[in-house]
Amino acid sequence: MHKEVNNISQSQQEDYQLIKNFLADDMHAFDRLVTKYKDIVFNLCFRILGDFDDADDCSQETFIKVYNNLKKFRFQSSFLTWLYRIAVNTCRNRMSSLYNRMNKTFIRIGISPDFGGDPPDIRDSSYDPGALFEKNEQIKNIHAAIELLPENLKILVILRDFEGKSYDDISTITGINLGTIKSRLARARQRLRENLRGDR
Amino acid sequence: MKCKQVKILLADYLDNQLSAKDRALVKEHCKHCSNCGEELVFLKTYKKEIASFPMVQAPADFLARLRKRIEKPAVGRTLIRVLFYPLRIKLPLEAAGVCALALIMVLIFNPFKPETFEYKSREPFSDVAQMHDKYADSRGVTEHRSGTNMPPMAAKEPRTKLKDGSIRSPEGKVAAEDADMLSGRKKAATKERDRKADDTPAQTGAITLYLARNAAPESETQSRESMADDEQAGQVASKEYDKAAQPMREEMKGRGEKAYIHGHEPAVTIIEDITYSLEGRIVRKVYDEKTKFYRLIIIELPRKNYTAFIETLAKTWTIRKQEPEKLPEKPERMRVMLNIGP
Repeated sequence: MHKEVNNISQSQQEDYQLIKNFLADDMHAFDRLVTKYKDIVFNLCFRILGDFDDADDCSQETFIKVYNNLKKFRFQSSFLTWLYRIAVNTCRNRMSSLYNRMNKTFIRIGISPDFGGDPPDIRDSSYDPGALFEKNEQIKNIHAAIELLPENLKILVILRDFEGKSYDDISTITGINLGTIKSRLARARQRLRENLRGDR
Repeated sequence: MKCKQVKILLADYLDNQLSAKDRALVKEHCKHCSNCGEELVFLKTYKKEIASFPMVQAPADFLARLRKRIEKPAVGRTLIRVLFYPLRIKLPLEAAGVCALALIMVLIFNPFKPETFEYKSREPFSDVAQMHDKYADSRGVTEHRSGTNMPPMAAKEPRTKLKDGSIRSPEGKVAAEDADMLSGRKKAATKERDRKADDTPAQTGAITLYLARNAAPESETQSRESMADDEQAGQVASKEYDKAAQPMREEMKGRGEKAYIHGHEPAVTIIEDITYSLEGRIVRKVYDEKTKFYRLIIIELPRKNYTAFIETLAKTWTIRKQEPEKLPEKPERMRVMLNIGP
């Protein structure tokens, strides 16, 4: 545990140094930050949005925001938490955007049981996220159940259960107080259980 | 501990983040509560399966594409930034839409347009019509012209102006003021011109007579006093007048002249009788609401018959004064303004 805290602190110090270098017009420092966190951010965006292209676009947008606003970073909190906050807000904006709502509606119509058969694949098939879960049917079901959660519950579940963030970090990232986070998480798991029962 | 509380603590129970006391309480509850027990089993399975969730990796060209986007920002976004974020003032599209809508509404309806049309709509006669109405209201006077075929009693009823601007006629018919407003104004203006013409003796060669009523026959006075409030008073008085005026009528018939019998106001009717008998006509009668009697009667008759008119009139009326004392030489038909005093 003590070693882990030391690692976090070491990583944080490294981040701070890279940011300072970037602010001193060292573009390679920014590249190193991107290389270090691109998978984490991409993974978070993919879990929240459930679509590879949207995740790609959102994670790029997140780093552009970082690039533009890094001079405002106050070095008081972890860079990773700050990065998470920007990524989550970018994903929220994407989910509430008109384009995304129309896209979702279109897909839901497509998978309506009235049409029968498998839903048509209308997204870019160059990278099929469904293939990730082919090996394990149960994981696929859980992913589908999480997709059915409302946006506010889905983000909390992903941050807590998938990313393993503490309640304090979640509170900092989402701006929701601790009590609300705990009760919403309990409700989200209850819903997940109901959704999974429905699948079975 | 209630199920709701336990369900909130279950995740922390699995993460070993509960105090010993809470941990024991949750464990004890889950042993007895099947629902919470199932929830705990589900969470254990869920946590295990989530741990094996595959990690998605960003595309290999992620950094290269990012650098391109940073170095060459999208034209559309830059345009939006220039248009809607000048000086860092946030102007959302919704606000811009509302402003555009308001501008369109102003252009269509133009509420700030100067009200020139109101002045245009005013007719040149409107002021005259207003003056006419004011004059009638202030004097409490109702005018009746000859040729209207209005019976004298009905003619006593004043015109009533309603709240909605319409005028109720003596017969009770309501006429909208705005209907045929233009012709109404023209009529009012014509009336005004006539009134001016009537009231200027110099132009018409008119003579003004100041009259006072002679003592009425005894029977007429009695009937008037005793039945002043009676609705039939006029009719009775008329009968009495007919009796009183009978000798004069017979005299007129004897001369081969036509005797006229009008309405219910004996003293005034006799003036009408005389006027018509002498080839004259009634131009205007002005009824006074306060005294409940005619204040002014204007007649027109041939100048040659004026002397006969005065002689006949003197039988029932006292002529106090004549203005001017000398008759004008022109025109052939003259006007006589009868100013009736108490």
